[in-house]
Amino acid sequence: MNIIQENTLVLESNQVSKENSGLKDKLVSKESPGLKDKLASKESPGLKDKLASKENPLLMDNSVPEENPILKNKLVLAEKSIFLVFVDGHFDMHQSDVEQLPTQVLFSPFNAVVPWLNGIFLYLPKNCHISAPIYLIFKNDKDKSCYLRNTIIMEENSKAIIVEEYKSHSISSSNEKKTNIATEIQLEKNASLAYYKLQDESLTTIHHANIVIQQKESSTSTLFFADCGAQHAHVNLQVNLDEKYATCHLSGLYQLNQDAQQINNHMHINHVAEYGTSSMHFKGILDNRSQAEFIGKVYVHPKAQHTQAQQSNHHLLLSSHAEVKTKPELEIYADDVKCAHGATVGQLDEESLFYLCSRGITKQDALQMLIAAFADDIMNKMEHITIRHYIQERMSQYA
Amino acid sequence: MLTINQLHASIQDEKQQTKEILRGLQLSVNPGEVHAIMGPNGSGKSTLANVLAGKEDYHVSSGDILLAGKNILNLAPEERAAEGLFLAFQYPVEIPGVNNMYFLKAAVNSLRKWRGLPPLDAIDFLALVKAKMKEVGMDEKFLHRAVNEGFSGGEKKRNEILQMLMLEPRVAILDETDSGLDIDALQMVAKGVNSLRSPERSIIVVTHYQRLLSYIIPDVVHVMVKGQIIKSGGKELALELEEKGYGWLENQVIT
Repeated sequence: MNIIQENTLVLESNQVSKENSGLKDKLVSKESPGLKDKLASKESPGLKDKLASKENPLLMDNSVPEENPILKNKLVLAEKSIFLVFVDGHFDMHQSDVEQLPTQVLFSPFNAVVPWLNGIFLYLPKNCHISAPIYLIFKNDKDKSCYLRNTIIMEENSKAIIVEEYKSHSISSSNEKKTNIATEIQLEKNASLAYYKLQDESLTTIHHANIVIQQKESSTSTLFFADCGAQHAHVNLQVNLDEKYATCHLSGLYQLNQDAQQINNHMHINHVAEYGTSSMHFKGILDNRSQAEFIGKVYVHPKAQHTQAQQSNHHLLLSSHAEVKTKPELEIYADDVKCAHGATVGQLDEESLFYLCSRGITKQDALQMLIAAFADDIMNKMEHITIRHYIQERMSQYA
Repeated sequence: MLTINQLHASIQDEKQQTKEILRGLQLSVNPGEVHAIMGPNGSGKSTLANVLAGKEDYHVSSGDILLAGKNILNLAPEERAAEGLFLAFQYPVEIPGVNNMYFLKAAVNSLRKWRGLPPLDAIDFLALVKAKMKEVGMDEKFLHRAVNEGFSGGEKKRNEILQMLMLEPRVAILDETDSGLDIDALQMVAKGVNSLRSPERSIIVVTHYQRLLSYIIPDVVHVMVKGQIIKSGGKELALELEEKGYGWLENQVIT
């Protein structure tokens, strides 16, 4: 598809969006049971016809019955990555692999529908498994702020691996810019999502992410937050385990090494229903005069009996000027639960350093080994090995 | 090979008071020799071992340490290792998260780099480490664990000997490597040390007991009391100490 066609498409879809002014609200509504129907229904014939043709991969046709076993097999892709690239908030078709997405998946950059809205809408229908990781790459190389909205909806028994990467360069070292993200993720019954967020923004960027995840019965989310950039990063995460047997494994690593560099992680897991399981394990490595704040809260509602929740937050300070505020919290209103939490702040072990050096390893290498060792167990929480190596390598540039 | 001249070293205690531990220590070990240093608790044996390896906690106020004629006192621990010094620790530290094989390979290749040798590739390294592990009776599964983490006392000591065999030092110091070992492990450690004996290498064995010295036969036995070597002799001195204790020697300390 050439650029002219793409522009035409956007214009057309703008017109369509006027007809469907309520579409956006419907897409992100809590229940969204009829979402698929609405998208495919006669209410929006213009949208479907215009966007769902074969030449237009932005929004794929979803009308094939899901029970078809041949189609189901086709949905399971080989171990390959799918890149969806956004430059300064705008979707870049030419750098992206839209054609790799299974035809059943609905995908649309928001600005195709609403011109002033940047970000992505991704919809996985029932039983849709995508084994190839989907990389959402958000690049911002201009000194301009970027406001993004991402919505991911996964229907029953669907499965996906999503990596969100934020990367920015700055032209001027004095111009402050913002990346402001609102992400909503909805997991229906038995849906399973592995979600990795890598924040590697320039030192003039203020990165602010608000993420809300709603989970239905027996759904699983495995979340990893890797932060190594930005002047100031603030992540608000709320996970609601709304129905029984929902599971959330949340972990993350932040690594700061610049004076006045700051990160705030406010993580909140809500156990609303019974038999929920959650874990929240974060580690931070701070050098020079960097600062980190961690507030991790697990809230267990009165009905959420048999909840199991674990929480930990450990820090390694490489400088006596680095600063950490950590507050792991458990708020429990049910009486049959298993919960644990803990937090530590420490330094590198001198004995270990001496041991490594006494074997001929240079002090610099020994330090790197011990820092990597500190992060090791958290890094291993990333189950997808290719992604783990990718993130590890990106973070090691700052070690 | 190793010459220690009039070495004075002290440590700051919890009350920030300077406490002198080595008080004019004199020792000379020739290439090819095995020396044993014995002495009662608190005589400064472990301090000597740590000062030789370059631990920062200790302050050396005067004296020299010459390794093959080169003064190593101002060298960092890794530079001393590069000069061929090796200390088998009394209490090897556990380092969670650092893989034992990765650590061994990093150490071997770091020393090779100092010596201007190309690094060993994965295959050569693996062949070498497997052969050496067999020598010290270590299961290969220990390669895939974190350094010393969850190792028993004996396994830690075997791991020290394994490192020594891999790094092939010019001067090896074994700091109470025999403590906490069962007979089998003791024999294995002794076998490892004996296999390293060679005309161009010196070995110093620090121990409380004569037992180890029946497996590693020393050329010279020194008795260290209150930071000084107060008596030196042949291997029969160790037997004499075993029989009489240290009491009869302690009043010989020059104050």
